[in-house]
Amino acid sequence: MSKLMFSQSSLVIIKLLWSKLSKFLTMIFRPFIQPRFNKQFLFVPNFILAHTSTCPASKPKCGASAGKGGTTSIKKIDFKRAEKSAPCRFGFIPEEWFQFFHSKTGVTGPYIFGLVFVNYLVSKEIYVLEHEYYSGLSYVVILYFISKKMAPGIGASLDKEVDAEIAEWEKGRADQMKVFETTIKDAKDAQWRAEGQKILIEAKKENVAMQLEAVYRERAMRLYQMVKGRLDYHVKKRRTENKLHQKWMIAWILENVHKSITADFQKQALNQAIKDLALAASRVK
Amino acid sequence: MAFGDYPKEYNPAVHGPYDPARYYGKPDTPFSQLKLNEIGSWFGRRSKTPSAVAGAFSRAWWRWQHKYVQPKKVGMAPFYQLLVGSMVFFYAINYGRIKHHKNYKYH
Repeated sequence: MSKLMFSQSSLVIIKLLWSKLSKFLTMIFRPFIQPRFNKQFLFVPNFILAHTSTCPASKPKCGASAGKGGTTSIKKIDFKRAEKSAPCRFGFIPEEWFQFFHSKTGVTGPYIFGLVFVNYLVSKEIYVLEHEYYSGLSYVVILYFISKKMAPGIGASLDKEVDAEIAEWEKGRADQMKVFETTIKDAKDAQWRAEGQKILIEAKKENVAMQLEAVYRERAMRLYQMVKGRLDYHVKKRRTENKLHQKWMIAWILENVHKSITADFQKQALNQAIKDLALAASRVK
Repeated sequence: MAFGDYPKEYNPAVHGPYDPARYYGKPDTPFSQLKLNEIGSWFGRRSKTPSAVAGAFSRAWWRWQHKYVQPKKVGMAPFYQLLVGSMVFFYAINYGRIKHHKNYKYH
């Protein structure tokens, strides 16, 4: 158990040391390392920085809690990357050093000061002219000729590379912007399509309602026809029965009439008929 | 304030993105605008904790970086400055040995 704890704590210490070391290295070598490789190889473990109470401006948490009077507008970057290194004389002495002298001593003052100062250092042998001094002189001569003869070409090619690099980054940014714009446009399109979907669903609902109505009407018609058919059947049945009853009634009546007619009655009727005919004939004459 | 944190005074809502070369505390008279007799009291007002000293060096480092190393088109100036600085530094730490190479006894 204790061994395990020891190994864990040593791991934490190693991680911490590594994070500090990598931060330091990043700081030193930042100008020499291409930024896109920085984060991959010289990363700082998250747990070191995770608990900080302040946080980058992009996080909404800070703006919400720290904004004055509810206005949470995040300030734009007010420092800008310079185009070129600040001017120097003799390759390394900042221009400001000479400007500092100008108001007090005039233009030649800083040079005189430099000469006198170097003279003092050499004459008092604070700066000792040992063998390294002479090799230094030769280095200075070499560096001078390199910076006069070859530097413009090297500088131009390096500047071109810088421009290419920046153009690449800018292109990446623009491409990313384009991707986001396309995404927004697609989302808007999708919303528009969703609106269309609503209309389509409405139309489908109407269609279904229409089909239901049609089926309802068809069935109502069928019901009507069925009921009418049944009623018609009853009417026909009744009529047929009536017809039959009538027929039977007539037959029964005729039969009874025939039965009631005797020979005597026939004769009498015949005589009456002849009499009627004679009467009619006499009337005509 | 733990390792890797921003300074206490830094407030992203007020100051915007973090500038490592900027001092976020209460501003004092710049050192370059002091009268000679004010220098003592000016140093008296400075915080002298290790983290404050480290912060001052860090800001100076970043000021130098922004001015000479980080611009888009860098000249040789920062490299020559580093070279001269290291020459002076190594001369100083080796002075105890170099002084035996003096050519004159009396100056």
